[in-house]
Amino acid sequence: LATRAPELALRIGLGVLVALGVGWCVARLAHAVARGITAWVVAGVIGVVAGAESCAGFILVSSVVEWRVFGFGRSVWLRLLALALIPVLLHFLPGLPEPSFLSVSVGVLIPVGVMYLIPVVGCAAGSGGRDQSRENLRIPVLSQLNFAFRHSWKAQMLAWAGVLVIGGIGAWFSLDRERRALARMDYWLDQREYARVLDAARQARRLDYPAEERLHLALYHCGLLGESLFTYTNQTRWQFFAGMTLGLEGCRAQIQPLLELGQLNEAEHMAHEACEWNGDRPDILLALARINVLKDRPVAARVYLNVLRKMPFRSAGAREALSRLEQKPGLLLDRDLAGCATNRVRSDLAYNKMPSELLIRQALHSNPRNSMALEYMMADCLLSGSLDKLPEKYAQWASAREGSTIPRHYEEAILLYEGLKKTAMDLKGRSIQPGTRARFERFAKAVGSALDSESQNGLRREFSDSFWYYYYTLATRKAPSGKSS
Amino acid sequence: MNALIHRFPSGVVALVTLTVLAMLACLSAAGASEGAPTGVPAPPKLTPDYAGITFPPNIAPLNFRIEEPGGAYRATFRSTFGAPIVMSQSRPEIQIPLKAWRGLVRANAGQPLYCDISVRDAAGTWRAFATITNQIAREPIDTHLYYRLLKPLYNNYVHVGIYQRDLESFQQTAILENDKIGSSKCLNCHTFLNHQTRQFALHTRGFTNGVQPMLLVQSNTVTRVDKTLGYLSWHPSGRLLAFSANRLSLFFHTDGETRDVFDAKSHIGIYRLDSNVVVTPKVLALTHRNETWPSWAPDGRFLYFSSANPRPLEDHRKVRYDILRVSYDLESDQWGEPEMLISSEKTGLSATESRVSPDGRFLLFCLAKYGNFPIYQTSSDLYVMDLQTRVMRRLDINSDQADSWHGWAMNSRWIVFSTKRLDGLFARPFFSYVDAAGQFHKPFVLPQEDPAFYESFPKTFNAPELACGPVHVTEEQMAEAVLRPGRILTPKVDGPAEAHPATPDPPGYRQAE
Repeated sequence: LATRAPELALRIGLGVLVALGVGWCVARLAHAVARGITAWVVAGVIGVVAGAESCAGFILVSSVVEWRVFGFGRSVWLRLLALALIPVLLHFLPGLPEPSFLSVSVGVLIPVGVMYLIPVVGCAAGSGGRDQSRENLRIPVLSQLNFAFRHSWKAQMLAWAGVLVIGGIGAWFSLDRERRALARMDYWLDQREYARVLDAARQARRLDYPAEERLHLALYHCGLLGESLFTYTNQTRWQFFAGMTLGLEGCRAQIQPLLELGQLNEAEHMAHEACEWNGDRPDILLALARINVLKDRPVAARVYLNVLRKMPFRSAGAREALSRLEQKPGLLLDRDLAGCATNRVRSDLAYNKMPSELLIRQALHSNPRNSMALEYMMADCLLSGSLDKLPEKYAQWASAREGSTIPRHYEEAILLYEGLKKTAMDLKGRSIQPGTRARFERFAKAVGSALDSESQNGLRREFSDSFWYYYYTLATRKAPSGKSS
Repeated sequence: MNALIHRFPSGVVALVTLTVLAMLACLSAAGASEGAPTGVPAPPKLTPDYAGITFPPNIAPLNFRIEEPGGAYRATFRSTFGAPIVMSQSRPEIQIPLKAWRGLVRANAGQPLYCDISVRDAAGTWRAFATITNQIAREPIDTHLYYRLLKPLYNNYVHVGIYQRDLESFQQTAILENDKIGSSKCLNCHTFLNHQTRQFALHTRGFTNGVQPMLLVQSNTVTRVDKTLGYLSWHPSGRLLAFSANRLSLFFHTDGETRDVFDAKSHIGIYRLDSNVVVTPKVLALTHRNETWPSWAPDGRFLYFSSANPRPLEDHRKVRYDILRVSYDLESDQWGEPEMLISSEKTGLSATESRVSPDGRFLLFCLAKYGNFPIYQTSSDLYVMDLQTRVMRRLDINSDQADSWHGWAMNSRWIVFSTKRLDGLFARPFFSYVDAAGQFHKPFVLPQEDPAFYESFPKTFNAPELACGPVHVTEEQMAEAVLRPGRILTPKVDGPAEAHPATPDPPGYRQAE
């Protein structure tokens, strides 16, 4: 949820906290006006932070709770008045988000679910509130449980323990830095916010294979694949397009890069595997719709968009795409898709598992100016440590990239190649920066003397962001095993 | 003309007068009252396309959506006998009441069914369209359709199920869903004996112990048969089950249809249920040929099958199957010599999925550019051979997408087949009427309660099979037979070792759609 709808997650999280807090207030405060004022303050906070629909949801639910616990009195009227003021608020404060049917539904339904927790919290809070009011607490399912709580201190302790345990588990999961960083990468890539993907990648201690695919794509879009690929030392797989060999979870992450690369059929393959494995996730459905548009199957694309249309928060986008398809069946769904169409591979190769190098080479064969294929070709050459192929690949890259300077990692690879092969490479009119040369000399010297663990650590500290260090440790890298397909 | 007028002046005058009067009457009637249809008749666009079709008298209502803009819609269904069904509504989705539909259609078997559609525009004027005329066939279709539902799968399957659909209503129930027998299991090759549901078989796949058991249902008792079998076909006696043993692998293309299937080695075997023995007749397991897609003739005197020379994967586009048949005598257990029916050398195409009509008259099969898996070939079309004249022809009911997985109704008057014609990706079941002259009529898609059903259903209908009646064993019984079987049969292999014994699925193995 946090990856797909962070705003919603914030609203729900806030709603849960507030509902628990108000549950406690309801249990403690005896005076109706005090409860009403509390509710107004809380509603105001929710309205500003989480939007009008959550505010309305909170007021509605707290009114119901008030009514069920204390009867239909002034406090309920006060809250309903607040509910009536929301449209006015929306009118004069245009910065507040417009409520949609779905978001209102969620804004109401989730607090209703939370409402069931209130008796537990109230009982866990111990005293407070009137016994008469507690008699009125007849919320289904938990009413009997509530009766037990009222009459047993053990039950109250148990309730406290339960709240603490559940809260602790929730906190643990929500504060898991690793998961959060990987989830953010997923989310921001979906939003095409590539710089933010890179930010999130830096925060993760260790990237798994799907995260690495996302990282590579973000690096490419930021023009940093040749500059910063090896600075992300938290990579574990260092690999492009692993197919299903590193687990089915990786399929979803490969859809977008394969699509952009021009390998439409392999993108379709990964999308269908992901759809089966991950279910009908909105991003997968959208990818399948886009793939079918590219494959000149607009009716099939509409099937996926229609499924998407029925999903919360995706309805508007799906309707818009459907409308565009309706107007012009051959029209591409978005601007990005035009690039995918240009790069689309048109030659047929039959394969079972195609190595990344072949996937990239075929894309370049179809479109020699395929920018992504060019950068991925170079990066793939470096990641595989295939220095023998470097001159050929570099020549291809350089002829298509007229006028551009050599990215840092490519410079590092060239220097290493020249150092190992004792032969100069044709740089096609470009030159290596002096700083890189000087650093390479330092590296060569350090490698020669890095015999003990302290020297090794020093080498890592100074050069771990370089291709040289990657190459040096390539043989000793043992990637942890992934989930097998 | 002058001569004619001079010769028949009174007749001409009368004709002209009548014509003018008729036109005036039409105009007068059209404008007689508010709300009555007006305008030039033109055929309305319907989704699904249920216009100009022949349909069985026992099928569920053919619900559709009128693809014409308007604020109100009127549809009248009328025939020779009985009161018409009149529907007037603001929505374009026409969902015909089941009871009224049944009454009208069953009372008019063999008669045309007319559908008058009119749409009211924003100005409040009704626009009438040309009457749609469909034909209600005299002959009913088998009451149930069995199929597998799955997404367009590749290597992995999480949700696969085999279902039965009552064709007389919209009710669909599960025969077995794979989550009942453990995740990532595949279900396939549901095959009924003589279109009856008391005896049938289906296969399971994805078990890691090497054996992919078959479920055998006889008299509502489910038995697990621990033997990996491929495509199945019942001998009409119910004593034999022909099967193929294939080494299939799924592979991919970088352009065109993504998926493809290659059969490296195959043969046909016979499972004798009465003795629980598997035999491999030599004539069906030639070392220099790959035999597959077995299909018994309805009288059990011939076994039809596809056969091709083995080739390496690199030459997969050169693999073309012939269709042959071999005679068989059940009493003496004697096989004849193979007889060529469809020669790939002559057609230049690959012939698979032979199915003989229950009356023994027609052989229905697929022809595609190459290979053994027509559903992945957009070039796959349905062909028919008249077994008396041996003349074959391509059917007019084909589309520019894959048409395959066909089957006959018990009375040989209906066929069902899977086709990707609607969108190029999802296979949908279509029916076609076969008249006494052997003409196949315009096909129509399986009706659904919601006319927009196929527009948001991302699953494919695979291997549709018609049968007379529902399956009576429960899903729980089926699942129990897999997981905690009360009865297990492990067939003995008789004679020499099988030419290509069925092996555990290799990586990449799929028997998808």
